Amino acid sequence: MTAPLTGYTSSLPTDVLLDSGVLYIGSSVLGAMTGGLKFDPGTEYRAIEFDGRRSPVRGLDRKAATMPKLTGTMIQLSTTNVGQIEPGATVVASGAWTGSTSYQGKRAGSLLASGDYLTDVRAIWLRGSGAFVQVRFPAALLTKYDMTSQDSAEIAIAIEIEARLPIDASGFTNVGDMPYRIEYLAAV
Amino acid sequence: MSKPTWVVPNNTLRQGTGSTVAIYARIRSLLLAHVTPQGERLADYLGSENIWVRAHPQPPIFPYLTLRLDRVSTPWASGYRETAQLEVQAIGQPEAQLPVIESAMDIVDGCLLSLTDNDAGLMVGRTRQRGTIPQFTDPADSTVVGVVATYDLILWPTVLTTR
Repeated sequence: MTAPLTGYTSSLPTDVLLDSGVLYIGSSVLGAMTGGLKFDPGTEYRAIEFDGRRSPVRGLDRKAATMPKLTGTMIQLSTTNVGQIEPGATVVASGAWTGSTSYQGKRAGSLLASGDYLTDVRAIWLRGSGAFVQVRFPAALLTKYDMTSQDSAEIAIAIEIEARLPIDASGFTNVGDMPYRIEYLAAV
Repeated sequence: MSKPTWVVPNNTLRQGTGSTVAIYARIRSLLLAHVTPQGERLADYLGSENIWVRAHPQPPIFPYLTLRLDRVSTPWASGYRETAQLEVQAIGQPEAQLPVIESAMDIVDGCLLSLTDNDAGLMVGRTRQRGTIPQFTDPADSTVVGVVATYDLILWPTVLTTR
């Protein structure tokens, strides 16, 4: 009798990734989220063209560009979160509304300051072994979000975080360096 | 005549997921070993390792827990992967034991809702449905109290994957 052909290997209980994952900014959890996290390295390859080419040829591909992106959906909005989704926002306490704190987004046309970027954005997933694997953006920018409230449910704040090359950091000094890492770790 | 007692305290069955009996034994061991952040264990409420499969042998000693598994294989892994529903019943008598079994089930929740066990094969638990059973009336024994919870488990049992 022949056993069914499957992709199962004995290392699956160790290497399987479980659950939705958690998004960290540095050493802090971004907040509660719903649904899973999606990582897209956004890699673009270009194949060298030549007359008479009938199919892509091994050895003639070049990694041309990358736009690594993490997407997910938050269900909370702390004051810290506002600063993360509105990089470089101006905070005005005790504004016109009683007890209010106002966050005004950065003025259009202004260049972002280094401190406006997020540092060490990490999407972390649990492995079956109890250890973890993470996708880390040493520098990143939350480039897009929208907020959708729902009947009898938590709000859905969809976010997109793009990696940025920290050109002054070791290991990232070449403009062709990938601005992300996939890393295995024993503890979070 | 005594009821079946094939997972009993101090059993020496091989654990992991090498057999259905081993799965029961592993779950039972994990439940008994679980310590809450407040330092509580199931034995603090059960008074012993009073966890059984399907039913408590006669005569019952209250409070106690029973375990029962329903397993369904999923098609996309050619039957190697299963989703299982683990029903845990906490039974007490007299009625004053209700807070005891509710607290015991809180510990079961803490263990099984964070379960990631790859001791042999893989068992993962994250969700459950839990309820307190209504009070019985005559001719049933109205002094019996119970909490029933059904936990959804993901299983990659070695009993299947090593064939």
